[in-house]
Amino acid sequence: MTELSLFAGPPSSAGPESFRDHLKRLGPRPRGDRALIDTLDRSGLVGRGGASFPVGVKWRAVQSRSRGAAVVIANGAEGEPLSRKDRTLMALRPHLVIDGALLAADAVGASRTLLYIGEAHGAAASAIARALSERSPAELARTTLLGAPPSYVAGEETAAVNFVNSGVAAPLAIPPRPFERGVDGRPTLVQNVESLAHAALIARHGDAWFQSLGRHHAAGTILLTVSGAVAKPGVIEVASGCSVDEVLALAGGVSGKARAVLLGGYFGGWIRADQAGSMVLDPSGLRAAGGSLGCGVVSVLDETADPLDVSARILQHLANESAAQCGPCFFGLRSLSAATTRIAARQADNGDLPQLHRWTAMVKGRGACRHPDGAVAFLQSALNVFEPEFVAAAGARGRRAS
Amino acid sequence: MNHPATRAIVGTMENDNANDPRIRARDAATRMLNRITAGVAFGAIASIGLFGAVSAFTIPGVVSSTQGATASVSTSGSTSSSALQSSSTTVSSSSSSGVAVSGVAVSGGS
Amino acid sequence: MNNTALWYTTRGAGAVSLVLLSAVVVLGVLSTLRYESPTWPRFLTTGLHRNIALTAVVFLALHIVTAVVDPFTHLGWLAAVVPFSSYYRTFWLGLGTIAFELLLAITATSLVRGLIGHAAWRAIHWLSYASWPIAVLHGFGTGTDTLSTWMLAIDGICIAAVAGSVAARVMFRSPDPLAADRARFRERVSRKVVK
Repeated sequence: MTELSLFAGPPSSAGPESFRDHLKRLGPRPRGDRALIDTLDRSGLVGRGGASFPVGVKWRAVQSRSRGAAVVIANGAEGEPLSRKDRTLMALRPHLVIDGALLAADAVGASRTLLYIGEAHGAAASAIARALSERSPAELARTTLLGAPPSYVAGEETAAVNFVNSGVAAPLAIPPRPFERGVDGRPTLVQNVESLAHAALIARHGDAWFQSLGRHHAAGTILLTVSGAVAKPGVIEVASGCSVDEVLALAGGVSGKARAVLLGGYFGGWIRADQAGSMVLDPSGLRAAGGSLGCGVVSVLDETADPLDVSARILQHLANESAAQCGPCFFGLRSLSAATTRIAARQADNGDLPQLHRWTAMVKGRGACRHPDGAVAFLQSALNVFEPEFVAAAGARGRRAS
Repeated sequence: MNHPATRAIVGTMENDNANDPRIRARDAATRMLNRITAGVAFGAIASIGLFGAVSAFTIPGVVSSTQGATASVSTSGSTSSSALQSSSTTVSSSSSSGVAVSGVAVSGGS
Repeated sequence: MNNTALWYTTRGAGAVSLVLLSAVVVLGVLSTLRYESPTWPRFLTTGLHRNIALTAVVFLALHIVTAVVDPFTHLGWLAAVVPFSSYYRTFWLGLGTIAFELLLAITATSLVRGLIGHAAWRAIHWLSYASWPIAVLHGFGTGTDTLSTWMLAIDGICIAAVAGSVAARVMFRSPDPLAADRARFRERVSRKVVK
């Protein structure tokens, strides 16, 4: 049984939690200071935007460079199509997110706090806007609400910074990283809204509390978006360290026979159903093992779905969402997507499958941001897990072939 | 990955690679790059000798005393041009061979 | 080493450096035109640009070292790094120092491009359009052989080559294959309403 933390309190049917209820349940916002950063270190909280980077370390990197003029961006862009956790969190617990953002601003010495919310996420944006209006005038004056464009890469941290600076959410090459030079050249903390919400609770209840919520060595709870062939798809909060089997059970169980699980979203990868079940969802543990929980997407593919078709569509989406700033990414993903689509349609040319392997090597690491790398990693996981299907489809020539 | 299908894929790739015209063209271009680079390097070394010799011939400076050398090296155009006029014929004949400006001519040994 | 031999070497190496650096500029400019054929892929142009640049640096170093070591010129090592600090042909030699240092910056940033990022690399690389003409002027002003026919011929060819390549670049600028798609993307992710 998971002890809820983020979604403790009123049920989802009650809509956004009001400021009055929030204060009654959790008390006022604690102080955000350097001691909080130490607490976050001890809590084991890692970022929930996809990279699973330790939150305390990130805050300290900004705080050490800040001279009182740093900037905090609460990242609620959520451009990953399979993920809904951020918008759900913002729609139901807007004050937790705002608390977290303000705590971060105080702790790192920021003079501006920006709430960067996907403009397509209507319920989330209006909940946050209303929540801001319930806050004190001082807090209202410190924060700015921004609508993030509905593109896949808009949530990338340099894209968020670029949007604030220039109005265009296109990723930029690093160096410099936002924590060194971001908005207006100042040290900028770009942090996912779920991470900030966890921080808001850790500030109140402490690091030992957060640790106790997880299983075994894992810390805290995590939000997951469960979709695909499950009875009750949706956003759930589970203890970090749960297994995929437990998560799928919470989502009402798999409808039909599971073939594979997509973990982490379009930027994640496929895992065979028989290997996925026992897999432990601990973001720190997965990161240490070279894997990734990503943004917490758990999507189940059953026997009735065509894995090649699904993979081809995902790759096409990733190719279409390229910022077209780097040749290898734009043209490479386009070629990979076209070849994968041909294979999925059983209309592959002879060279298509070997070329997938070859082009993958040429695209990796050749972009200003990590978009092509994520797409390629996704494709490689598909080639691994669905290898027999790819080989068979690449050999098949459609019914019209001689 | 010991799946037989994998080995098949890997095998196909290995056979294709050596004969793939794109890879052969790339290798040929890389060889040409190395050859031209080597040619330029050797040509440059040879040219130092050549240009050094030509410059020594056209404006040798007065070897006996540094004073004289100063006079011929000074920016007054008249001194150098008179040295030029006296050996103009030699200069023009050497300049034709001296127009090994681009190292490519020297690297014709590829 | 014989004084005059040093002097001839300085002059010879100076001429060779000019030729090599002119070739480097031409190759660099031509690489922006993205010319390619089945036998001449793009990396050949950029690869030659890089290799010849590194070669040029070596010969330029020889030119500088022989000039400084030559007792006749009374140049100290300082003159090689501090512009306009020599008594000998102060202005024209100083130009050479400047051109050399610009070239050093361009070379160094190119070698660590991965560390400094593309934008910084590109900004410094534009200085090559300053470094080359300054080097040519240095040659005109300091060069012993400036008015010799052979040197004039070399100068003429180098200047014509660089000017020709720049003209070609201006005339045949190939359209950026990404331009349209990039513009479309940017339109999609641009701020519409200032909140």
